[in-house]
Amino acid sequence: MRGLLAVYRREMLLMQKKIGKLGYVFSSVMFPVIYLFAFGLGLGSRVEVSGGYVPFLAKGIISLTVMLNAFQQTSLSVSAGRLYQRTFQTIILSPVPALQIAGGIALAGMTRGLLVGGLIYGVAWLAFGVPALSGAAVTGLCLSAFCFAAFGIAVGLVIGDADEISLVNNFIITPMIFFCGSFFPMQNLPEALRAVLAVLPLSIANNLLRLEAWTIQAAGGAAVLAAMGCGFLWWGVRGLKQYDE
Amino acid sequence: MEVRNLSKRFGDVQAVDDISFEVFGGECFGLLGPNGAGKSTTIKMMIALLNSDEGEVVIAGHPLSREPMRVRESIGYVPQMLSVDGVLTGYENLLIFGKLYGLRQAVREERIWEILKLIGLEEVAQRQVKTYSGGMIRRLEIGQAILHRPKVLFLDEPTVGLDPVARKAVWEHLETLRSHYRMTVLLTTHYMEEAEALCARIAIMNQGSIAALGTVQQLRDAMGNPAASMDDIFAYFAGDAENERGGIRDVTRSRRTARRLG
Repeated sequence: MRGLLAVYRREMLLMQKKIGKLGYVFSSVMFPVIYLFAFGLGLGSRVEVSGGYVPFLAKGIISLTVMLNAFQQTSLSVSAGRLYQRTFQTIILSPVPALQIAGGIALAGMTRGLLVGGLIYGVAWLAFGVPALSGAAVTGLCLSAFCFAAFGIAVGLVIGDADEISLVNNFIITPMIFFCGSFFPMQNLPEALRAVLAVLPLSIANNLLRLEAWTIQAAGGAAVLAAMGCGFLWWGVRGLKQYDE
Repeated sequence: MEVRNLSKRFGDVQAVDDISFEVFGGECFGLLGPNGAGKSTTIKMMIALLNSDEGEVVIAGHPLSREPMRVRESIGYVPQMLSVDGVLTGYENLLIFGKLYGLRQAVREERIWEILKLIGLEEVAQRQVKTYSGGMIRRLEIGQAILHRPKVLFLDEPTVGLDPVARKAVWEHLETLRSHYRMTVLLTTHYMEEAEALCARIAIMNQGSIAALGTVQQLRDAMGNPAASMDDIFAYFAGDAENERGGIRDVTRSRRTARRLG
């Protein structure tokens, strides 16, 4: 565990140094807040959703915020450290096992995702009175943070340059943001498309987030999300073990 | 340290071609050669950042292929490109490395300040590394790499991008650290004066092979010119400019490092 904690400590120290920078804060917090207010105020009373559109939207935005921040933290940390500096190489050359390296980086991704998600929830609660999140919802957020943090590690290890990370953002992350139930219920989509989207991790996270209590369905969703996260983590650990310049 | 029949091919290019050599304990050994000679590829295979196609490396009695973790505990590495976090302070960079190598708090603190004193960065330890000069950054990287008292230290072009004054300061601190901790050092360089100043023995690489190996005097004798300069030695064994390798990646890497070291 000491290796995992050392890697985590490094990631958190770096994050701490960046928090004062306007661009870092803006990209992490302002875009979700803008979405929340723009859609919440612009569409809130016009869209019929069980429980009200604004709480629905707020939870969706919290969910995508956690996803984006967890993924960005780990994918950029690994890719930039690997491609543009040599800090990554010196860490993998240390006697810390690959699983602990991946674990430390993933934990940092989860921390950033959940911290920023928590901030967005605070804004939603203050501005729109969004109610407290259930146990199933919090579990869903934590598992989503883990899943996308682990995905970010795997992506960070395989991309060759900054353009390739844009490909991942444009073809995987962005479609999930808009089609996985963050802004509108997936029931509004054609059935065939719904069937495909339903198995994506953000869809599962959004479903968990909107549950008021644990159900068998919720437990199943949580198990699937956890398994996806473990799968991505395994992919990342494998990438670390087989790392070859 | 022993390298036996090490080879690596990238597509059509035989980057390292069946090289073998030995580095004695406590020695400073240089790998000299022009761009694209295979120096960095060799060092990366020796520290397992790159898989070799053939051959074996044994470091401090541990075969790399069978005991990679024991090898990692025994080595320190200073890459050509920057390996410290600029937004962290000098102290914080060393702190993280101490934790990665499992140093307990009391030992870690003692070693951090001992090394900071030895490399002349004690006064600036709490400043962010991005405020350091190029030479100071390099000294910090060397200090970071030896925090855990490795048996062998690898340096890949340690003074590229530094001015002559900073370069000399790095040499002096490196020699101080090497003799203080009795480390074996292997460094790659294409600066002849660096190899002559620091290295007991030199291997000159050219197009993936070792063209010559020995002390500077032995290399002069092999040339048949006891008064040959390092430039003469280099040109004699590796001075085939028409076949120079090393492409845009080498140039980009060197220039990026030079720019960041100021």
